[in-house]
Amino acid sequence: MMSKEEGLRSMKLRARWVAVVGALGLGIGTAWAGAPDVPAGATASASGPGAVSGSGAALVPSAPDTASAAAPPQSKTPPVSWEGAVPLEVARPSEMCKAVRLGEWARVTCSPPGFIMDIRLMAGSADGVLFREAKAEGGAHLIFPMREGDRREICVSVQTGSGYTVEEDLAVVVSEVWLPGEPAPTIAIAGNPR
Amino acid sequence: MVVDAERVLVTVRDPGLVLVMRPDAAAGLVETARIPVAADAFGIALTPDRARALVTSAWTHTVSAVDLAANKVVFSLDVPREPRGVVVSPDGKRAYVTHLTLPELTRMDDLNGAGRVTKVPFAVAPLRSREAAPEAATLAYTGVLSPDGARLFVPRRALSGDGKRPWAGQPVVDVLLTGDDSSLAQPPTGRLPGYTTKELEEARTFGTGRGPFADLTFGGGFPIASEAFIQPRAAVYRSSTRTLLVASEGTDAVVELDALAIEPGAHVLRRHPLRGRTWSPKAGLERALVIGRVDGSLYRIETEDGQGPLARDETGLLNNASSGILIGIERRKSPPAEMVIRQVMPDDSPGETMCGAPTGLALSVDERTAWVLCRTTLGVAEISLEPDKDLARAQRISPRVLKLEDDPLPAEAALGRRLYFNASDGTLSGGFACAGCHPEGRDDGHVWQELTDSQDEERNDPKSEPCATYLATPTLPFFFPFVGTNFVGTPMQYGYTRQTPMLAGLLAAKGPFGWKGRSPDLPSRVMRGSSLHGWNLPEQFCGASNMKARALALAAFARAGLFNPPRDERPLTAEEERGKAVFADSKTGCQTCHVPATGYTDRSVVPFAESPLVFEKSGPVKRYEPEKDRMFKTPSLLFVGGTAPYFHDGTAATLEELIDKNRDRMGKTSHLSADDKKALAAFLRTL
Repeated sequence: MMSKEEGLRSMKLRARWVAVVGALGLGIGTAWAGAPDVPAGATASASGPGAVSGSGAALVPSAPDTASAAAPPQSKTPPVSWEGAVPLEVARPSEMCKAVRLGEWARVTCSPPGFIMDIRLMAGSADGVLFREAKAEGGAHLIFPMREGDRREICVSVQTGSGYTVEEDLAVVVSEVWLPGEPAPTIAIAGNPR
Repeated sequence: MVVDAERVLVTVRDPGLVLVMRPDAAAGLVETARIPVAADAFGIALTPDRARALVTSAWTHTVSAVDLAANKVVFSLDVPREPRGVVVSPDGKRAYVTHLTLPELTRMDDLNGAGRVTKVPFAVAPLRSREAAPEAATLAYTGVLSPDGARLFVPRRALSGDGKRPWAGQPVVDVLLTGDDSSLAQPPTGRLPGYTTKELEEARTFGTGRGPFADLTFGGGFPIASEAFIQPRAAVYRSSTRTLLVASEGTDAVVELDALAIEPGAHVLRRHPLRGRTWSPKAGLERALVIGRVDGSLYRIETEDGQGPLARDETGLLNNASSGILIGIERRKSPPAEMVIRQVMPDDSPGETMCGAPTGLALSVDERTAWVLCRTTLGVAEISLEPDKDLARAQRISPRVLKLEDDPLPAEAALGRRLYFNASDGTLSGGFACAGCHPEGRDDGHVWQELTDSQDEERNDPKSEPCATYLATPTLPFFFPFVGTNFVGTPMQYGYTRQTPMLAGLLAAKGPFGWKGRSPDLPSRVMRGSSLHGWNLPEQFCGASNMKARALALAAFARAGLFNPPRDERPLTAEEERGKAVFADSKTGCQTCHVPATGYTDRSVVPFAESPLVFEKSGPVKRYEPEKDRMFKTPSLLFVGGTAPYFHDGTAATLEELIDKNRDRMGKTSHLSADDKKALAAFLRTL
């Protein structure tokens, strides 16, 4: 027998899937169509500061990537190709994600365990933000511009639950903050924040 | 408490004092001054020049500035309810005060002069709050400034947050940018792009691949994070790692959060369990994947051949298993591990912990060690903050604990105290402790929607007060987690309104208890009331066989261990005397039911007409059900001055409003002059 809570969650999920389908239906024909998949080379380059080896979250943060601050805004649209991307300094990296940048553009590639249920922009401007499948990594690319004034947060949720239930759990949270006057954005990633 | 090189300053609640002590090699701490401040002194912070201390006084809603050279108060300012945490900016120009029951902050300026206070709106979990009640916050015991003073971190409970336990919201750390007093977290702007037809086809193929992603936010649902902490009670900033340590009162843990993030509460970097190892996997467990419904989360447990160190996630399991419905696991050989999951009854070792209700936190100078005050087990726990890989297994699993004193409470009441703050007791709490809504035995100032099951319709049977479930709704709008809020514009009538009652000092009578007076005694009420804390079926709480011992223990603690708010022992003023006369006047009839000799109540159940304020304040849409049974137990008026808002539905914000708009539903007050009403309110505040 399902508990009352389970019942409510089940109702929620049913409602959510209905709404997801609806949301998808509304999205036909809008911008960003046809952006190519990421070149494998760009992904392979993400072994610098943005990538983490070993287990557990890094507690001592890295310095912000001031190089990105030196680059003036280049485009209102995200790069089509990520060739030439360099590792992006992530103050608080996660082993679930790797990060590169190309000029002012950041691409955070996250591969949380499980089926990605959805990705959401929780805070900040949607301008230029793009979420793409990362087939090679079995995850998703989170692409966004880094501009002064940013207070952006992106959440990646995965499907969880067991037996007769399907649930959505927060798996990755990417926070990008670039307050006025700061030399560079501060990017913090929490992987599997349970 | 604050410490500098020469002094230790401690607040004392009743009577309100700041004790100044100096360390002495031989004598320990030697008192050097005793400075009277407003009663119920709680938080304290020093100005950067160490010349003044700011002290919050919770019950008396006051912030005082103390001149530490003259050992006297230089100013006291009235602030909103329950001021608790106080921090001073590094430049000494400003201070911020948190309020236990309110979402806003109080900012203080002119600290070196006469002081000045300003209300600072402070959005509660702005990225995760339901539209219905975005201002609903509680448990802001403390605030922490970053070393540069640019960010103020306030751990608290967002009752409107979409959390694992929807009825009680979500624990959060809200961040204020002190440069302009704005929230760091701002809701998104603009719209994300959509899909091509080809991508849509892929996306619709559920289960076959991830497809393209877009922002799938709709209507107000949120990705739900597990609760990093429950009932945040203390916090410190760890500069070397730019992290926050937050004491989780309800789960006996300290969590380390990312202070760089927009939502530190969703960026859990590390958990430091304080409960100790109370569960162990079966021998031979090598690697196991556990998918559990303990709180909807997925846990991974790893061991080294069954003998090696347990991964942090195991202790996470223990500390998150707040429903108490533990997962029993068995494994079958070799990854991918296949698990058999079964629900088992909660263990029956209630209140077992090494460090109960962590209440205070302090960091060593090198920030490699944290000390935690364990409130309900009367000890201090030591946590090593070194990386896990550098710690011995025992350090990872169990903290070192120094016992400070033997428990002065009888054993049953001592158990009750541990349970009162414990959010993880499956039988009792369901994920939120008594202290979550009744902090320190007081009320949280919020009004809830009581959802009732079908049994509740049978209210004519006095023996069948139902197990009920409550939802947070401080402003009386309807919201129903997961369903209602996802469809804005579909108001529904659901549930009855109930304000959180205060407990301390009001439980001495034998009975009856409950809004309708249907529980004959306090343990009965505890058993009924425990069902308010979860979503399980009523029989799981009301009928649990191991519930009675817990209820008896809680009742013992509630009577012996909760501290009454301090009283201002002084002669009544002329206005208060006039109010007392009005109260006693047979024309008003106040004390016909609110009998002074029995705690200003006769505990009778009387009819109570619906307040016209309901219609004035709930807007055009009435979002809850009308009371079918308008019989209510006469509440005690003791401490009534500190428990706004008023009525069971919270429709009167002040005592003056309560009296002014009583419309003769309680006694007769319509005939009173304005001065008489004012005097009556003044007298009520003295009770």
